[in-house]
Amino acid sequence: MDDLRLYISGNKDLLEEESLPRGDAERFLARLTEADEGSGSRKIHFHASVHRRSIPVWRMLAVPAAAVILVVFSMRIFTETLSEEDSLGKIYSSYRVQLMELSSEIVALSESDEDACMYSVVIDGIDFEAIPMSEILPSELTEREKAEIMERYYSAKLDGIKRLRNILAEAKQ
Amino acid sequence: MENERQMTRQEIVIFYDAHKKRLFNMSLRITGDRMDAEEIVHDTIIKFLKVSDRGMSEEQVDAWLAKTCIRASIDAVRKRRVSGEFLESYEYDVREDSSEISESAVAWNQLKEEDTPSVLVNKIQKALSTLSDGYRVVLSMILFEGFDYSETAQVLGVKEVTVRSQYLRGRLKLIDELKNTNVTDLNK
Repeated sequence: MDDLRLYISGNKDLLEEESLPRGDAERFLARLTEADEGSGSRKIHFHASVHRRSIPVWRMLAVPAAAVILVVFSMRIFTETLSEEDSLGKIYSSYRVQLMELSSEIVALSESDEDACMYSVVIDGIDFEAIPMSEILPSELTEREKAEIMERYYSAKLDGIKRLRNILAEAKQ
Repeated sequence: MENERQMTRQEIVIFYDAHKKRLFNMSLRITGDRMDAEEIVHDTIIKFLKVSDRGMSEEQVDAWLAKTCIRASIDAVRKRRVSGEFLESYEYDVREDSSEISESAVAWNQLKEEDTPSVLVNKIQKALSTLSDGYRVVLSMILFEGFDYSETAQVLGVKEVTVRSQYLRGRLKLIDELKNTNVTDLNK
């Protein structure tokens, strides 16, 4: 083996791996759903060169604004699947699964790939955390108190996205 | 025989998160395109979920995913080329150019002295992305995925001697690119 190969082979753990583009998990789940339904893949194009139809300004602003306002003011506890006994990791995992399922539903309700892109941006905005909640909770709190805060926090995010889904579903009827 | 069991949605998400970064970088090194690489990761995992044997060990799963991802990445590169061929058919005899080889060896030793391993390894990965498809694919497979000449030739469907000459020539270009990058950095 030549020196270059040896060098890389011996230092592979130092390789900085790039992350996938934001929203990758939602796109994956959407494709998985399509694959399961046998409807073939619908690619969501993000390239700037793709022709985009004109979207009314009110529509561009109304949906993201509504979603953000709903998250800020909605603090209902979402109790369908989150139990008090769940660990913080399970709470987060459950949130991720529900987020991705809701994202898939919203993609399916979108009228076009461009709309799906726009809604993905909204969902990313709601989902975004500069620092995960679990890492900023004070260590003085008990596990139960932390779990309660995490449940409320992630429930609010999911509530906002559910409202977005419901708005789209009603618009389609 | 162990009964097949469908993964739950949650298990699928966990599986996807566990493997996506490694496969993405594997594909990105070969295709050089982030969107293509993401699509290939998704296709690979969806294919695994549909066709794989659930009794596979963790090592077998990793190997299956890697092999499938690499093949799909190579196919993606091939599709981009009009001619369908991305490896030069001529067999470059590196022995004929010993001065170039010596200069390259000196340059490589100098690069190792100038940069720490963590910096140099990442510079190598960046420099790789600037090479043409043929060199990039062969160098990625041999340097980063651990394939030898024979295995690479088998996957690419070419002669082993073609892979060898592509690798040797590509390595010269890679080190040249790294050398030029370091000179540019010094002049900043």
